Amino acid sequence: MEVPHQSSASVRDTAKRLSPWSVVRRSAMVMAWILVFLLLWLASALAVPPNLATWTGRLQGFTTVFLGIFIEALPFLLAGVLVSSILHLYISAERLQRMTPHHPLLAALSGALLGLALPVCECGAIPAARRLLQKGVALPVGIAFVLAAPVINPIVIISTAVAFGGWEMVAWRVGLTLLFAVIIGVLLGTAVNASTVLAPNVLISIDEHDHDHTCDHDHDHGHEQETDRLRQVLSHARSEFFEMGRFLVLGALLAAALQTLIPQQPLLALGNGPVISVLVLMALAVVLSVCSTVDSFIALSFVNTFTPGAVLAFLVFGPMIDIKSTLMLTTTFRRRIVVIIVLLCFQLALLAGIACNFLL
Amino acid sequence: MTLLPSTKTRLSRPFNVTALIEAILMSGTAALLVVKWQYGTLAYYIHPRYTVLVLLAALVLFLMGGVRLHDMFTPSNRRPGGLHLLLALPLLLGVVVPAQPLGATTLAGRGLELNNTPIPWQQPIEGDPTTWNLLQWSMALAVRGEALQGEPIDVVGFVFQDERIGHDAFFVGRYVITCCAADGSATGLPVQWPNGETLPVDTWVQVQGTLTKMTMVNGITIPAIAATSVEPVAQPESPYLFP
Repeated sequence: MEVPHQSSASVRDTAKRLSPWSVVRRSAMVMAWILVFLLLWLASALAVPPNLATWTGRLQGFTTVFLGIFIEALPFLLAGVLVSSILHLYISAERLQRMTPHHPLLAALSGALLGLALPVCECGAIPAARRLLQKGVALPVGIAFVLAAPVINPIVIISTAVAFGGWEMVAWRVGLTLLFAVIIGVLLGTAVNASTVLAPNVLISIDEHDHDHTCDHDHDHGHEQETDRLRQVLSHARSEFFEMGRFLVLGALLAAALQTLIPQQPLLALGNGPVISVLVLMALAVVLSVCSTVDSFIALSFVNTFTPGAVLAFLVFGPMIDIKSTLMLTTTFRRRIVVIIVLLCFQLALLAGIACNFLL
Repeated sequence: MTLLPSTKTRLSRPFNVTALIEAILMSGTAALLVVKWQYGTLAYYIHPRYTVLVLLAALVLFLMGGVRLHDMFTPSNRRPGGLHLLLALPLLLGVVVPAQPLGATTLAGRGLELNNTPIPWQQPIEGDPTTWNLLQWSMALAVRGEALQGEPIDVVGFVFQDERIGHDAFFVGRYVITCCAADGSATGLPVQWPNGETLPVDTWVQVQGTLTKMTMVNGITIPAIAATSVEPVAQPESPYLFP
């Protein structure tokens, strides 16, 4: 597995050294790290002059929020990369391709419902979807899965039912998510071919899949031991953890920075109005970046101050799109496609929220 | 597979620095989580119901780090890069920055909830009002409002200053967490206390008194505590309240 990775990495390394951007990028990196260590010193409260003490307080608050998001997401991300590794090592591409339908609509539908069998939230859905796509599963399956799995899975369905004390909100949430995931899955999965949708490294593994498979095969014949299999899964999970983890860190940093810098109270004061309220809660869903397994409890605190459409938009849009998941999506899809996914989800959720406010 | 030395790659290093760094990062992060749990500060970041999940994650990270250590002497020409620096951030922040729960200094960005909007997940709040915490009080006030006037009150929270309530008063507040520190919102009540505005922020206090009303600088009347005693106390083991 490391072989194709290494050779492509070395090609990239040479390209990097030749590019004039490398100098700019390197000096920017150095500056960024000087800044990071300056901020770390301020936050550590070690020999910080008293006139900078307010900064220490704010940075410590920032750290608490950042680590809050990171630690909370960590178990779910690890679950996702473990599921992905097990898929990779134990389910052959042929079997998976045979199991999933090829008609775009059916494929999108099955992808959207796959979360019922693979219970993961957004941090886990992205590595799992990436692995499915690498295994050559039809595009609509992967796209619909990545969008729907954070909501359409047993844990989230139950937590929503518990939070709202009934099944009405669950039905709306699941129904709309299913609808959006299928629409976007069919639109993006049929209008273009795979190479314009998937990130280059995902495509590479599809092409070199045959090689991977024989490699697995030889190895399994060599050592047929349980500990070896566990080691393989962990080793795979590790490489994926590092690939996804950086986007989790970046996303958590951004979300924590936005929370520290933007006061929430004025934002929430805009709670009225059938259109503005929807936009405000959607913006809040992006900024909060909380896991879909708990966001219904947070949505509940908005029920009395916001319109029902706004709460519904929060519950549907939040799990599909937030800062960390958007960054993580770039590991699987081309940036242009990520932008299209974000815009489509945004439009659909906004439309649904406003329609709900006017019609119900 | 990673254990098989590849014939295609040049042997550029006798041992794999990247593997060592990745192993250190993973086991370091795992150790950080376990240490924070041991010291009880893990609860500053996440709701306690996730503690088990986080410890499981730490176990998986330890195992992954251990497996990675095996690759130490497998030559590789991959060098550690920005990716590793980025993943070192949570570890660095966790070690260097002293663990602090959300408090008055972080309130600036969030604001204290003053209007006591009803929280729909409330269970009926009953029993002796002196056993209620600030969250239970805000729920009870949202439902029963005026009927609670004159009831005895005994709560613990941190001191928060807000110019909206004028002199001889301060706020006593608690953070309410549903999932992790990212969704924390503060709830609290103003306390009438001579020279209350001089109390240092973020001090933990126990406030005893009765429920009354006070008029803020902007003319709005809100429930408040007429305090008979304000005692500094140690920070509670769990600084947040959970609905």
